[in-house]
Amino acid sequence: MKIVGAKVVVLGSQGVGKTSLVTRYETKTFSRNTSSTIGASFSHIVIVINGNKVRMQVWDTAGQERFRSMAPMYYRGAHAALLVFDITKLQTFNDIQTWVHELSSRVGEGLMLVLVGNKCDLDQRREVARDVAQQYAASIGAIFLETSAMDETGIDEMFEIIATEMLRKSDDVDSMVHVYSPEPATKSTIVLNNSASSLNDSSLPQAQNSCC
Amino acid sequence: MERYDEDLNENSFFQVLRGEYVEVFERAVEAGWILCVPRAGALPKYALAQDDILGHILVPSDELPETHFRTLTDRGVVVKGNLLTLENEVSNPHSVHILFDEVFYDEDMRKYKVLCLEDPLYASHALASSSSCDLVMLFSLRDCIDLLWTEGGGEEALKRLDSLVQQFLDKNPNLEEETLQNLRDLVSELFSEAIQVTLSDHRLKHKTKEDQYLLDSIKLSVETYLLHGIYKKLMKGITACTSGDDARLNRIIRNLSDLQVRDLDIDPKLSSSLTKSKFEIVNIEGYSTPLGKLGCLKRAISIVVSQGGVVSSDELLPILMFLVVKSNLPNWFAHLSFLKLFRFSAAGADSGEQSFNISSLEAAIQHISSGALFGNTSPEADCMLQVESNSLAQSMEEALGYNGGNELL
Repeated sequence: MKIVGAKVVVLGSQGVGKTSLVTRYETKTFSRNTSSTIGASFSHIVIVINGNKVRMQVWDTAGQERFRSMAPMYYRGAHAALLVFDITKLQTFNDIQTWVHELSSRVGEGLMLVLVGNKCDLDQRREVARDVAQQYAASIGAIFLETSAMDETGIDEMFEIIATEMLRKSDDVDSMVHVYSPEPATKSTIVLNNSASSLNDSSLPQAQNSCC
Repeated sequence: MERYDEDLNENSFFQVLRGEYVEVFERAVEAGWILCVPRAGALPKYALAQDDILGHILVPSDELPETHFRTLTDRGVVVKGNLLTLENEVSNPHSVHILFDEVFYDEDMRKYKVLCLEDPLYASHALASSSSCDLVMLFSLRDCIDLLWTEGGGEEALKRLDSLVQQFLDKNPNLEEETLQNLRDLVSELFSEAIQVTLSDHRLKHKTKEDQYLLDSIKLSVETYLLHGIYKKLMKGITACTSGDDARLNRIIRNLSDLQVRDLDIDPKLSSSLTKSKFEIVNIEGYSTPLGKLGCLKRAISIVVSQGGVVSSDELLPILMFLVVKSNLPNWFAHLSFLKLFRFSAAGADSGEQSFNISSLEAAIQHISSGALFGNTSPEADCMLQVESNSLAQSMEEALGYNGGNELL
């Protein structure tokens, strides 16, 4: 049994349905009831795969242009980024490239990228072809999937993919840094460490300064 | 701590359910039923009966599968907020808090949902009356003192911490002259020592080995108690470090005195709750611990969120900016630094939400400080954010042990 903590940021322009993706997952799984009181901007999603727990903190990032300069305060220390666009609006897909550019210069490698084409139930109004998005995802080393908060397509899968990848990464010897359980041999909490999380936020590695 | 956590794999109720009721369990997984598991501390001491188990499996109703269920013992259950309520007991309605939820996947990637409950749902007398220990939730300094008292060895435990605080204050009479980094190091050292002293109590040490949640709660309590003890002196030191940034922010805030809700594109229907929220956030100054200040920040945010429903970061940020501008607090950067740098126990399950709230507050403060709210009159506001506020931001990053401050902000 191990516990892996991961920070997941949701990026994308306003109106692409970032918050509805997360809230849809939560209503289905009850997290909306049990999790935070601070609306759709922050959520806990916990997935247990084969007895190993992945505890994801999902951070919504402000998408409006006027708040753009504050985005780094949200994505620093992230382990995975959901890059969400609206398949019926080409501009939102183009906006993703700016995010990717910014992430690669500021966060560096090791950050898992997931390109998400949302609103795929509106296929007849599609402006972004699936293979174009797929190709772009491949070029930036991202996983691509299409989702719909309306008919729930791809939403579970999105978090499953991230959880599975976080578990896989935690098996890399290099990335195991932080063990805070009193019984390190059987149970351990692992904070993924990679070039991204070496810039980690106060939420994760602080206990290193403490007694344990 | 406001968020309970435990390892359900170790929970004996869950173990019995999966190990001894294999058929029921398999059926539940296949059919997408929901498994409820009472938290470890609320389990009965006797062997679980079949009805105890079946009464915790929820079958979604056909009409309202997300809120209405029947247990396998044929009782109606309704989910509302974070409460599960047993329906058919008209005379004695029984409600139980959902503490957390997890989605489990087995080897074949079949999935099922588990809700961890504060108390058993099935209100058989034996189960209900046997829940011996109340769940510890830490919301305030008072809660922390109570926990240290009951678990840490009574008055003695607090006296030992008091003497550590006194030693610290005697040894460091001039905190105003320290850098943020030094302040953090000094307090971090004090915290480590205090944890050691507290866990030198054998009974407690033994208990925390079995119970991660208790250990996290003890750490938070020690941190809270210590910081309360050194707050006045520490805050003087922090304020000295942030005075330049605070002075600049205050100049800008004075010039924004006419700021209206509409200037920030905040939904007008939130106006009345913003007023209430403002009365809450000004209290942040009066709290002397990260726990207290964070609780205050959270309440201020919740007041607005509960009014406005689902709130995204795009909506939350202007709300926080409005609160900061209207709060009349003279030293926002000092409070922010205190929250960012002096939370040593932050490893528990709810540290994520607190970090999010701090980052959002930081984003709001930095945005105001950059002058960006003046709009077109400061076309280069974004550059100012990077350049001007860099010194404090950088020293905070450095104190947190980030690699190289510059590329981060």
